[in-house]
Amino acid sequence: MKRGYSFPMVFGGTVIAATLLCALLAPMILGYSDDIVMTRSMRAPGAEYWFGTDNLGRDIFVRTLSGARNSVIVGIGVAGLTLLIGTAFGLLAGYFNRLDGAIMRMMDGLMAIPGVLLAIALAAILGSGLYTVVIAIAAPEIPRTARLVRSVVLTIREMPFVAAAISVGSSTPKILLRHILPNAMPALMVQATFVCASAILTEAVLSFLGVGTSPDIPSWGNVMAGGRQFFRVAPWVILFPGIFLSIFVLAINLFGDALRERGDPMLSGRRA
Amino acid sequence: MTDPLLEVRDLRVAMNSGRTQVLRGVDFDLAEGRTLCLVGESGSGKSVTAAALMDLLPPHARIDAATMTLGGRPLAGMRRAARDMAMIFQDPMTSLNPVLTIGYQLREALQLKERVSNDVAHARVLDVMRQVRIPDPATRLAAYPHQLSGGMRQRVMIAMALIRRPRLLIADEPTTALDVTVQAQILWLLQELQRETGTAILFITHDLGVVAEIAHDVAVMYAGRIVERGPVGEIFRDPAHPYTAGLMAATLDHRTANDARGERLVELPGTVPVAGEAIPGCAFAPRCAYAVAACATTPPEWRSLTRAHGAACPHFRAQQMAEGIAR
Repeated sequence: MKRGYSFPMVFGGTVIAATLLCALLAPMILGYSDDIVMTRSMRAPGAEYWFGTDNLGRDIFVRTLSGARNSVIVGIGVAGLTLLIGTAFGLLAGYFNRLDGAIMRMMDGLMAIPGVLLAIALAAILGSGLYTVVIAIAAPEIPRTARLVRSVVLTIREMPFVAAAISVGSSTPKILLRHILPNAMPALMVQATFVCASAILTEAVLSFLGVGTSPDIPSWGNVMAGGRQFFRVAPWVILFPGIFLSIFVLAINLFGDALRERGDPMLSGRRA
Repeated sequence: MTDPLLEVRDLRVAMNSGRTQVLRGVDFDLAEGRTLCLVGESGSGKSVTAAALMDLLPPHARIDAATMTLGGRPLAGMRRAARDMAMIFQDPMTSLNPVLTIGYQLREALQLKERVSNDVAHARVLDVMRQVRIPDPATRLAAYPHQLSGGMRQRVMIAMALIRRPRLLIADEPTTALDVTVQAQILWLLQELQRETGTAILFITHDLGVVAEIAHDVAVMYAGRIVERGPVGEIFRDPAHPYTAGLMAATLDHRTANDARGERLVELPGTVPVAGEAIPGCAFAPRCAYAVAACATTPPEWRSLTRAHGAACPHFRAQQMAEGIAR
């Protein structure tokens, strides 16, 4: 049992906090100066344009920071949506034996389709807004979360304190939401970090394949996608958003691992 | 004698939608202010009896009873919150929710039974915590279960039960998970509380030492039936069922000190019948030194020794007397 703060937790936490700050403040500080200016296209990184410019003369520094905003929206949005729906399904399947079969077979069916393929199909159907991308990425993630929550609920519902709550006459919704769900939170928080990280990556993949957000809504993924054709002459277009993406995803994963190592209150007798 | 508080007649429970019979006709009474100990080995149906009373059996269990009343009101179909009873569970480590404070859990136990304002609930919570001798209750309210010792947690469990002012308290091996000194404190506390509140206690245990400490009456269970029932003194002094006699003999007693004299601890031969097995005669017959041929085929008759004391064995007494004469 580790006390205090380990390196992954501090590193992960700091990077996440810094990125969130950028995501929030970037538009205010920078304005929106990533206009197309053909006269300054393909400049190499330097004093004037720190990260260089792309083929249309857009400032990559500005686009990377604004991209942080959209990538973070996608990450958090997907994590939230997945957790909300996945947890609901998982709670119901884990607690009510009757619903278990039906819900979990549905989840298995959804899981049988490769995630990226499903996301591409959904993104193609729903169009290419930021929020439709969130939905498209969240859908394939739901079954995994539902399975996790179900397995945790199956363990918790056998604990004597649940019987104790039933014996004093707690209603079923109260038992689910007040007694069981909080005990599943540690596992959920860890899952949330992983979903968030993989959502950001999936968004980049979708953008790269051309079904992500449109170029006027920069995200790390589509800035990189835009630089793909010019990689040999202007590698910085892909390089800088790529570095940001990697470090941020790494930070989230480290943070999630650190959270997991802190253990859950059931085993350690500590509060989450 | 007044009517008993709890009356149970021919209680039968079958698991797996009726396929596995686990209680095969349990009868007992429990009066206000009395403590009845249900004794028996694992799988004899002690906890199932408690769960049937509390309506805590899984949905696939079938409960049947000729009579099952608390204070004259039938328990079947009664809402859990409306039942005038409360249960103390075996393991205080896992019977409290680790993510909720003591205060919250006590208040919930109260407010699900009675509609009282938060202020009244708060006062009642403090009262009941003082009643179970939890020192410094006001600060303990905000504590989480892991911040308390095992004995303290069991006091909280008892407080959770008492705050509902139950007429019947069911204690399912409440001291098994505690060490001996704490065990003694908890037993003493339960007795004190019984004197203060007049609640009836149904106490489930397999520890005969605990029985001697706390019981007024004892019911010995074997394979889903009560095989002997009576006041604690009579049962200990004068067991009337070979199984009870075997249990007593198998207990290590420092006064008779089997061990010091180099004698082997007495054991009961054989094993308990598997739950659900059809048993036409006496369930104990295969392990019984006093069994006659008829025991395996016909259900044993209930023999009363005194008004309150009886056992489901017509042979044991007769043979003991015969042996006594022969010697």
